[in-house]
Amino acid sequence: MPRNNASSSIKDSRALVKPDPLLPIPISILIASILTVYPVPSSMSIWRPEFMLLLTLFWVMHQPKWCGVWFAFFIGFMTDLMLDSHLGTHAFVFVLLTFTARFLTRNRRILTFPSRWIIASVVIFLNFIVLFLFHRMSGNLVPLWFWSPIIPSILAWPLICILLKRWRGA
Amino acid sequence: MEQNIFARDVQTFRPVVLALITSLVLMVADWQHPDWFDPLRRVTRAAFDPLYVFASYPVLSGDWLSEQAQSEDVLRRENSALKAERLQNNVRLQKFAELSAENTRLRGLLNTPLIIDGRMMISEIIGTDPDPLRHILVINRGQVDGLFIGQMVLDDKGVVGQVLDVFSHSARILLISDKENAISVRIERTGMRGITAGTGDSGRMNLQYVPKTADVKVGDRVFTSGLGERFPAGYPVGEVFSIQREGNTEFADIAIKPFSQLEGGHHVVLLFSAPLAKEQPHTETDLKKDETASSPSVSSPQLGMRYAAQ
Repeated sequence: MPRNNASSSIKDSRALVKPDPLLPIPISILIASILTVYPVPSSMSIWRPEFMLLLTLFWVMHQPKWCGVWFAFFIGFMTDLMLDSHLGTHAFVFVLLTFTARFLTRNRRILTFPSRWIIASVVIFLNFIVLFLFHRMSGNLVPLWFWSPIIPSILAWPLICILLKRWRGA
Repeated sequence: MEQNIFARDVQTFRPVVLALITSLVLMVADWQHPDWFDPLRRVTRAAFDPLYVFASYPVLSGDWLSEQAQSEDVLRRENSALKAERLQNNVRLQKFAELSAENTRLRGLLNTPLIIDGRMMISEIIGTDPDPLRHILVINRGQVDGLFIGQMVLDDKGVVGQVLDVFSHSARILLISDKENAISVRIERTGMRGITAGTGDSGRMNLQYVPKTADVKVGDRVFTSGLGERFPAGYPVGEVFSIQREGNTEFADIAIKPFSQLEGGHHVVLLFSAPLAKEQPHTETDLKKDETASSPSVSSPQLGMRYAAQ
């Protein structure tokens, strides 16, 4: 028992040492938005990972004190503006997925990297299902390559975790 | 302590529900009044204007490098080929000048305005829309070059699209293949009018509302008719490549293949002519209308002249 306490206090002190994510959050959003709209040939752009979604998930899962539902809403709204999609679509989806991600992690005290990866993958997959439903409801035909960013997005998750390792926080 | 906050966050549904309702309200608002959010969209697009310009540098420098790296031999060969092509074009132009003069005379007889080609501007394609579902290109000309919304965009083969948004140094072009774009057209062989709509597939457009009995053949060429009052008349759009008269609708399913290189092109041409939409293959009723109200038909050639003079 005392041993446990000791280790937790060390953890706490480490958490205190970890830098505040106040500055990295806007900078990462800026970089992700640039990656989202950076012009590439259309044959390549269908494989573009959903950077905004990945970033939202990262911050929501690693800095729950800083980034919550309204953070996800804001990022989703930005994504809608950037992609010229129906306003509110991505906001809705991101809020829903933030809730899902939190729901899936609710009872876990220790989240290992693989378990986070699996949760992220599930959430990414859900994102495409919900977006697909929205597209169908608004009467758009959805081509097969609509689903193609799923795999790159899942593969990009570890990359984002490594790049933002310093601010992994809690 | 931290666990507590985390746990509390999960159990509060209220912010989640509130955010979801807010986004639903946003969706409905955007659906009902898209114009409310236009300033916001414009600000976002304008913020990314420097990014598109920046992204175009690798493309431009790649072109520059390949130009620098060409050997003298290649350049000589290209030069002689271009000279031959120019000669051919000049010969064609002589015929064209004669036809144009004849056309002017005939139009004078019909009391209709002239078709005057305006100034042109070549522009480079520097990007595509981030959403692959939309057929939108970004070009490296903008407000400083005098572009305006609705301007016609061509390439060497035919119509490419129209200008959708203008920013200071870039502009967005809606391609004719986008599913939200439609052009009023005329079939060259029969003069039949119709509407060509994009399908979202860059190799196919549909000629809409053509009865099954209409005289349309595979290989018929389709030109802009100018009836939409947006595009000038007489520019090539595409070619009919399949006609299906089966099915239980009263209209035939006619597919058109665009002439222009919607996927592969590097350059586009912007046309600075006023939308001289009024020149049409005139029917008798039109003629009567023109006689009664001749003032617009007098003013539009002047407009065209002004643009041509620029």
